[in-house]
Amino acid sequence: MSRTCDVAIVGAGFAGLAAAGVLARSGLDIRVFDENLHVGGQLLRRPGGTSHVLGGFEFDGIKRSGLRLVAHAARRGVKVRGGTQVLGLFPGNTLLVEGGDGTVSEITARCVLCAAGAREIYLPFKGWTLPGVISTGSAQILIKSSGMLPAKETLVGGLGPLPFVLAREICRHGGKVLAVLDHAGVSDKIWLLRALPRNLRKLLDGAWIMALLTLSGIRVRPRMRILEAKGKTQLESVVAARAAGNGEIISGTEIRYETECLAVGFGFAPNIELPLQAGCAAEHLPERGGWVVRVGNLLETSLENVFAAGEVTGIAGARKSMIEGRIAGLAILERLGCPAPGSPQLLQGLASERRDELRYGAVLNRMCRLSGDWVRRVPEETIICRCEDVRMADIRKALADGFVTPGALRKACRCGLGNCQGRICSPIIRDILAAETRSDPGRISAPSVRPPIKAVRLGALAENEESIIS
Amino acid sequence: MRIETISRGEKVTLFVNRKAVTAYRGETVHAALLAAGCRVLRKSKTGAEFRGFLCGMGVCYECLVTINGLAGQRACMRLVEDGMEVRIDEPDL
Amino acid sequence: MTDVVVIGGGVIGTSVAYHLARRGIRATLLERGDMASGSSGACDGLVLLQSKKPGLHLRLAMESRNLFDRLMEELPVSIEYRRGGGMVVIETEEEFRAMEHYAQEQRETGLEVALLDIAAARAMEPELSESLVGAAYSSLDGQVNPIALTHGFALAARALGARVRTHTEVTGIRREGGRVTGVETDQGRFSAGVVVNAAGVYAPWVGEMVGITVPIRPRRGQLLVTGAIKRMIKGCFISARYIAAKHNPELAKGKGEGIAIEQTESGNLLLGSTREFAGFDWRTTVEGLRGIARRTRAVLPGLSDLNVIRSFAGLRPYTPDGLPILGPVEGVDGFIMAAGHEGDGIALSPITGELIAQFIEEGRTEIPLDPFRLERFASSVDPTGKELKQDGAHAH
Repeated sequence: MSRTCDVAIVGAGFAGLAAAGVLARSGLDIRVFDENLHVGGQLLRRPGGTSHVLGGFEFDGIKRSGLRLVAHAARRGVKVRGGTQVLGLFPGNTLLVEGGDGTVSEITARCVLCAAGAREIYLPFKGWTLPGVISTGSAQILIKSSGMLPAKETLVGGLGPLPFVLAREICRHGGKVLAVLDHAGVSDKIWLLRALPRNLRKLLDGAWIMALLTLSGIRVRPRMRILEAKGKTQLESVVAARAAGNGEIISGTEIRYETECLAVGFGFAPNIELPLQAGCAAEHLPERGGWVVRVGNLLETSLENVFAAGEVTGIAGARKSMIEGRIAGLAILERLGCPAPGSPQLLQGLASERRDELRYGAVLNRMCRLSGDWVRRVPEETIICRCEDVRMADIRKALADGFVTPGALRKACRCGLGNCQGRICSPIIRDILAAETRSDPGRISAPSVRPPIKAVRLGALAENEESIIS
Repeated sequence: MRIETISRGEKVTLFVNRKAVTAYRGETVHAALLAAGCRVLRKSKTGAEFRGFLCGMGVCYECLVTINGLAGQRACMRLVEDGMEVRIDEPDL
Repeated sequence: MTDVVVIGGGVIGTSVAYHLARRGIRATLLERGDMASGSSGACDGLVLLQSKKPGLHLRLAMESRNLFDRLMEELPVSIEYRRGGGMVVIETEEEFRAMEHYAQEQRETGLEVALLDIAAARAMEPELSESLVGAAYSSLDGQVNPIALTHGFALAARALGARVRTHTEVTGIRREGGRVTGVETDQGRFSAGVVVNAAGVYAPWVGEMVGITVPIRPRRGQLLVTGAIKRMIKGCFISARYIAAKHNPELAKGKGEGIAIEQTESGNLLLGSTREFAGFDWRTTVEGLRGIARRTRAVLPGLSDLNVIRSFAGLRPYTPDGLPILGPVEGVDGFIMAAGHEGDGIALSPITGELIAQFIEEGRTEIPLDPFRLERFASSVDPTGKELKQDGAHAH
């Protein structure tokens, strides 16, 4: 027998909490689920069970806003079930949920809000699978959640703001950063000027970080490509070189760093697995970072009573997530017949703020767009699908044999069939397909997502509440 | 390596491949293993490569270890507990 | 110009195209999606003899099984065919008695099956639950990789001169008088004197293009996939439940579906299944996931701690009598059926391809196709597809 509620919110980050805060006034039965053990999503990672957020001064104040969201939700009695994985969303808005105790149960909601945020994008290079090569996010989490530096000396690289933010964090906490290898060039940053004047505070934060890094004597190298991670059983050194404007490696610019830790990140991919599994339509919008859930202005997806907010509708940062959480909360209140007073005016204001943040997101996404030139440089023996040990050579052979869609490649090579179900390799496969078949990435859609969208014990699926009681 | 200026929870003991390892409440198993010098966790599916931590947030399933007898656990998603038994499929080093 | 158009890029269509190409007959294979994007890409790989109804069906399966060894040599991909043996898991004494009768019938068709008590069964497969009664075992049962098999047929067919076109949807079949003359697709027209309908659950749609009723209905089977682990079970498992029920229909009542379990070459366990009429819904359900998990645990309790990483569902092309629809069709010269294998498509794909190709080339077949022809349904089925007789092979 499944349990019921009014609203189920998947993800307790900025979007989920903002929605919960709006919804909590109404007396509706709201459940919020998050797989993490803390509340607040990526930005508010902090030691398990505490409320102390590690982080330095910021102009933008987004973390402060986030902490206010957490406090507000708590004050209104919103209970977040942490350590909880949502395994699937089924017709009739029934969620299959694995609780923190490992038991699996079902809950049916009148409305569902998908707000699962985003994860990092990875770029393969020779040796990237060596232990010691980690994501920038992983290093951030170690620092913020566990008070741990990723290594004594870390080499940082990649695209977007996160490598710089990480480098600053490492310095602040007494670690050493060997260099920051920026995939982008200085000229790419010109795009940021488009974000002025509205997003001045965000840009000031960026400038502030750059200033701190310079003052700490950390070398920031623009337009760098990581050529190889070397080591026997784990990372020992990294070779990088400079690229020209067209992506070609400039010979003679190779640098070798001795290090046991390389932290890399290449932007963000929305976690749209749950809406896709449920059957929500997705669309490819380059200005929103690629494949996102398709939503209307009130953030309802193509499935009735299923809403989406935050990074899943487009990569644009925490402020957009907060705004969209509020929009979704108000829309759901209306849908459930208890609209908030002043709702139409509130929504109008929020819509305008959302447009601003989407514009900012478009600038960031433009700046962080990866061109496909890296595909040519990947050696045949480099692993593309880590879960299944599928190499570039296998992919190329399958392409030559005529398997030219993500679904066909998945069948022919097994890429995407492993434990992570394509979360790491799908963006890579799409870029390879776009480059090798010269197609528009917008026409390369994801292969099917099936439940459970995260791994779950067979025994847990076999039990339900009745059998536990009996 | 642990950041010295951060205050931590109480000390706990993990047993990693039966060796006692000190950790602190509030840390993830990922962090505790890293502090103990473990970066290599297992071999890849076909046994061709060594693997360790990657995403740190439960997405990549690279950091699989056996915790208290249950295989296939993501070290980055579990907090340390006193007396926790962690088994790593160590490669032949 | 092509001699034969084969509609459907699943295991049957690709096998037909391959066996035609082997005989030097020019074939064009048309598939509207990716190769194996239908049922052949959403099933397990069991190649079982024990599940086939003694008599013609079992004979067909035995001939087919023999062809797998040849295919391992001939196809350009590793099809991972493995004869690890198969066990029909017996859960009650009544089932055991029914299986003894069944074994006698199997023996008469030439299949030797050993009936084991639970101790003997566990000696071979230690993961089996002690609370089972026993198992029927055949060393001839095995498994294959159905996607690799389909791809292998297609690639080999192409290497032998067949034209293989994916993302090409057949929209109509052209006829002159009572003969087929070719097909219309969204990528243009293809002329041929012979058209093979190997469209699986979509075979009725293709049949409508020539004005015939094909009584195939989609019957969904859900499967769970575990993460890859070292080899835990040697062979495959299915339930006696449905086989035994043919001799004693009481046994099937109220007990739901049985299990179908294998561990693939890549180490994942495929746990099945369900049997549902759910239209063309390819989704898995909560009931399906939970039910399969429970039934698996009851038979192989040691699997409880494995991680389930994915599920999927395939639509079996079900026919009212459990036998495929093969061979020419009266009134539509040149139109040949090769569909409706329900859960036996993978196992019967080699023999189906061989027989259809033989028929096209020689006009006759080693194993008579008459019992499989579409006409057998003429009086016994109405257009809504409701079966009036349920007397047929067990299709797993």
